[in-house]
Amino acid sequence: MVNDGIESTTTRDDSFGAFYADRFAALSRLAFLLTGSSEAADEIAQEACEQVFRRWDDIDYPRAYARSAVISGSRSWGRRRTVRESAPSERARFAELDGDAIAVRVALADLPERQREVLVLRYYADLKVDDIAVEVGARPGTVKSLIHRGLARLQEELA
Amino acid sequence: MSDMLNDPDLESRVRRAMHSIADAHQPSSSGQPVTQPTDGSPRRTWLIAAATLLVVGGVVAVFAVAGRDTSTSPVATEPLVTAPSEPSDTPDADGDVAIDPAALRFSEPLPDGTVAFVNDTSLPAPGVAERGIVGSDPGPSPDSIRVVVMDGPRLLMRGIITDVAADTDLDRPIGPAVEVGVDGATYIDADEGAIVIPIDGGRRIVGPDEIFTFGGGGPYIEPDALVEIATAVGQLPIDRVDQLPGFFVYAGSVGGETIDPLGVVDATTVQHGVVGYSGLTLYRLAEPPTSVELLAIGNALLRGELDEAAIGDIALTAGGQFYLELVSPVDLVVLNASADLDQRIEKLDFAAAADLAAAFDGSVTAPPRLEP
Repeated sequence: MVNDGIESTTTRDDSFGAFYADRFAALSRLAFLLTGSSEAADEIAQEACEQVFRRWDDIDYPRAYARSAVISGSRSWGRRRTVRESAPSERARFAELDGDAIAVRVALADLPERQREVLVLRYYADLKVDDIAVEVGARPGTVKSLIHRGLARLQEELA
Repeated sequence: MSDMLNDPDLESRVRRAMHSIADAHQPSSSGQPVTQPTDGSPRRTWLIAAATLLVVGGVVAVFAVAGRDTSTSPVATEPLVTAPSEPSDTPDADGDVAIDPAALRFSEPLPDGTVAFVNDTSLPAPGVAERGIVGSDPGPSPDSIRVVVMDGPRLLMRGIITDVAADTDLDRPIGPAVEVGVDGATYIDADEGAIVIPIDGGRRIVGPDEIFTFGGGGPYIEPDALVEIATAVGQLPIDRVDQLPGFFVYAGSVGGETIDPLGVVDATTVQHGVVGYSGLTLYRLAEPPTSVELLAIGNALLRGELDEAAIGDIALTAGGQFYLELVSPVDLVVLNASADLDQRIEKLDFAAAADLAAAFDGSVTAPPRLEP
């Protein structure tokens, strides 16, 4: 299993600065998978870090908190966006992706928000179904259903 | 999972693909605080400066996390979405901004016992009327909340989310299926004015006020907005809906207990003569609202009928009859005038309730109004 590191806990003596240095890239990549936009991903990750910073003394699990903030921020971004397509320069940047990655990237962009979230949390963040259910506010059975339907959509693109 | 699909390697292919996509994305900062922000935004600058201070300056003790329990899963105890952030001098992701107290009539909270009135002797003399607290009408079921849903400054819906048992009259979804991320979700009827979501032991109805006022019909809000709202709410525990971005719960009951989430700690109404002339209610809020929160409160108090408003507005109007103004960081006045609203606003004044009669006839001078 490839762990993006978002899941593990933070020790008591970690500073916010160390947290930021350690987590920003992972949070940005998670946001990128959820939004498909590099610029939005950086902004969302930055916003998540800001929220962690503000509540640093109050939250027990900053990594999980930041992940939730990224999911929330990605949803907000999705509501505000008016253009789904990536900019041409962004498309060029991803030209080296293999066929599966290109297909998954295209399919993710077209999936309903919740299906995209559960797939990313399952197959990128490697969360268990029960944990995803907590994260997205759904029952585990619903999460399984969303994953199944999402995978079916991805399979069509990967065929 | 993959046993239900044709490709036994599907999950591993998806996993590999996602990591390839993620690795192809190069974050602007790669986790190292930098000195030059990539977008020049004040927020980024502020955060980077803070992080740099912590890393370079070695002042980690300031933010050391004392007494944390790391023995359990973080997912189980973390909030689903982030809690409202503290007021900030810089816009957040929704363009929200803190309200500058210097822009208000009074930069400090009004003294306890202050009331608002219209200092116009052509009106009947004012008198303190009933206490008016929002949140007294919890909704149609024991688990029911009234919400204002905002997209930045724009009102998406003023409505109700109510969880009903499977055998109640409201449990009659007959509309078409709708995709909101929950199996079995449907519109409440063919008019598609509200969405019904299956939950444990019953159903959840998400819809605008009009659905519950008129008993059906619609759509009364943008159909896409209704679907977005229902998707965001899903099967989330009803007492956590207020944690969703843009959702402001302003009344309701959870488990049969009435809640008052707006944080109104007091409200005093002054009436000029009989009902129909002018009535004013001065609300005391528990915390200073942000700009978007003020718009949400305005939509809650003024029935979602606000005239055009923008982030940063501290005075709002509705339908030529209502006027709402944040007069101090935590004091909010709502003026209801059946006529001559502009004149009433011009003569809006404040006094101690005990001095109201004297202030009205001019023998006591109320605090002067500050120019905007």
